[in-house]
Amino acid sequence: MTATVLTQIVNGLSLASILILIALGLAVIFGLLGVINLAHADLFMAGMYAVVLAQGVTGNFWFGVLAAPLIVGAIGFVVELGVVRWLRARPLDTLLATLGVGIVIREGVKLLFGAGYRQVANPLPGSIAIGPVAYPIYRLLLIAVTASILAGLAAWLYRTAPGLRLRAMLQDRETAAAYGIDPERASLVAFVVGAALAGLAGALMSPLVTVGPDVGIIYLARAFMVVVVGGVGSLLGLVGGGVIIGGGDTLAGYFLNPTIANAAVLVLAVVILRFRPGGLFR
Amino acid sequence: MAQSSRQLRRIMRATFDRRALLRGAAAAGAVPLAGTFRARGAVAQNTDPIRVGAIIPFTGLETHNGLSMQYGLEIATGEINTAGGLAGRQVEVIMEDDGSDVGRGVRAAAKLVGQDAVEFLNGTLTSSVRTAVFEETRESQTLFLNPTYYEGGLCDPYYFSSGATPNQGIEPMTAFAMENLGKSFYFVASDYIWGTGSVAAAIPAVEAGGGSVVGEEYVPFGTSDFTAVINRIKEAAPDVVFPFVAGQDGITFLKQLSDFGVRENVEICADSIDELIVPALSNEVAAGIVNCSCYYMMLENDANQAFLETMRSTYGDDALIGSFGMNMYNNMKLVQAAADGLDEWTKDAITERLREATFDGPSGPLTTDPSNQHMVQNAYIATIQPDKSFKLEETIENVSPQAGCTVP
Repeated sequence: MTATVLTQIVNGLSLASILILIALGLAVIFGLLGVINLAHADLFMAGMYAVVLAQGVTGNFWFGVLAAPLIVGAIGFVVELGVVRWLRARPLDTLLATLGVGIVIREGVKLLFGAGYRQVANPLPGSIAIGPVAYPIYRLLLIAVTASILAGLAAWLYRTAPGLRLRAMLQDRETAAAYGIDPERASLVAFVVGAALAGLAGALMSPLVTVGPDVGIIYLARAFMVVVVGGVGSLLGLVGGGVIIGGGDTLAGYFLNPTIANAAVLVLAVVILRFRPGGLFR
Repeated sequence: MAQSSRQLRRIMRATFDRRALLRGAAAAGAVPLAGTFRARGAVAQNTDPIRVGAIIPFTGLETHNGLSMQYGLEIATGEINTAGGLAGRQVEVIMEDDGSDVGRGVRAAAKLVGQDAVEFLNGTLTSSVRTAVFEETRESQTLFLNPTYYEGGLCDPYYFSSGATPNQGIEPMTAFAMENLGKSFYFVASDYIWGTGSVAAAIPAVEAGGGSVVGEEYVPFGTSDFTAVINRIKEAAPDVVFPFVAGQDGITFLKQLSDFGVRENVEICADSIDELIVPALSNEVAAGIVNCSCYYMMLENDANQAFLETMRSTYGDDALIGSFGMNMYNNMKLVQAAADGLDEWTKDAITERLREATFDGPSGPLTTDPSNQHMVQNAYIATIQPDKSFKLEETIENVSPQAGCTVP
């Protein structure tokens, strides 16, 4: 019995860290720019294909993890300069435009890699014993990696000059500009970081899930829920959202069944938003 | 929803009739005036191409099957046209993407039948799309050939299926598993008609064979985390896990089963893991899975070798085809066999002849069972090797389809 409970706790932690990882890029772009990036799912998927590419060239999964944020960050750079920048004043149009960008990325991947699924093997097969429970090494690593990324991101936002400029811009764009902050540049930085995080998440998730051109979309709704439930624009909120959604899903999935868990988590999100429209941690 | 589907049907019928009339109605036995025209000799021998409508998932959950189905369809069409077409008329294919989605599938069918006035439909993959399209074709009396193995239960005078019924895939698989892998089963299925229907067919098969079912459960589309399911599987400790998890979710499930070490004590058997799926799996995950299918690329017969040669020279050496793609081919070849010696193409003449059609091709001999218009065909059980190749374990020849219904 203790083993089962312990397994469920680790499962919940693992799923929460995965959800936070997936939602990070979305949260950064939404929180800092107010842009709901519907291309997020496909940037995530592009990160998976960065691993496929790097694995094909070098035979090493970890090169892919390094390459993914660079490649997907570069895509983000082009998308910000070419599309998002011109629509910033019109949030609804960015919604449509980023949806279109997502389709372009997806079909581009199909042209380059084909429509079939790709293989990414688990780079760290095997389990470690935590008390009475043996848990897959790679999933434990993911929990640690997500925590480190969060810590790094917090340090960047709250301890460095570029982070300060971003937060200033978020508070008041005009005043920040009057103090010599280039808002265009700060926006570009935020979008590229968000895209790179989406790519990194895709790369890190690729050993755990199916890798194919159409898989990104199933993660978008979940990532969005995590961001909204936790509260837009706060890293703490992101963690809270991830733990609530991930934990809720694991518990309901185990004690009821996965279909009901899906609905239960959605109901939970609606109830939370009814009483805390800005999110739990805002 | 019901409202819009009724509207669609009305549009379908209206367009169909009008176009058919305008073209002198060579196509349609559904139009009573056609006979009058022909009787007067006002219409000469029709040489217009025969249009075939294909509904294929090029996007969405089943994207990975899209190209395979296109290959099978196009290769068959090429062969038919080279051999002089159907009843002297060339074949023209119109493909529509259903996006693995019911709404789009129904719209695709309406467009193909209404606007393009195709003579018959070939295709559909997910059971939800097939069932919805079936409702439309039954209403409009359109000839419809299904390439995909499924849970059964669809019978209509104008509906034929080379796709296997449960007793041609699931039952041979459970029987083989009980003999070679173990007696207790755990079923995990996608929560929709294919998953639930397949489990409903598998449970009696296991129980009749003296095995036991220690768990069954259903997961929604888009499940990317199976940890809760895997925990329950570990607690139930079955001998065999038999997944009916569709598309990408199924692959994610297999990967996570391996990650959590379930494979050390549990065997996997399936009816959906063929040569199109294994590229998504690492060697460790794929090795040892036992699968039952009505076609594999590795089958050794002359027709298959010739087909693969054509496919590779046309689409490249790394082109792959699965059972759905092969059945797109089989469906076209069955129509060709039915049209052989026919002077004039009419829907009723071809349907009549399809009930007796046979075709011996890459997947082995196919014969229509006239009682339900599904195919008598071989079932092949194979084990995936450490290098991800398929090794044939057993061939069960000429299995009669049990569709769970008969043609009225």
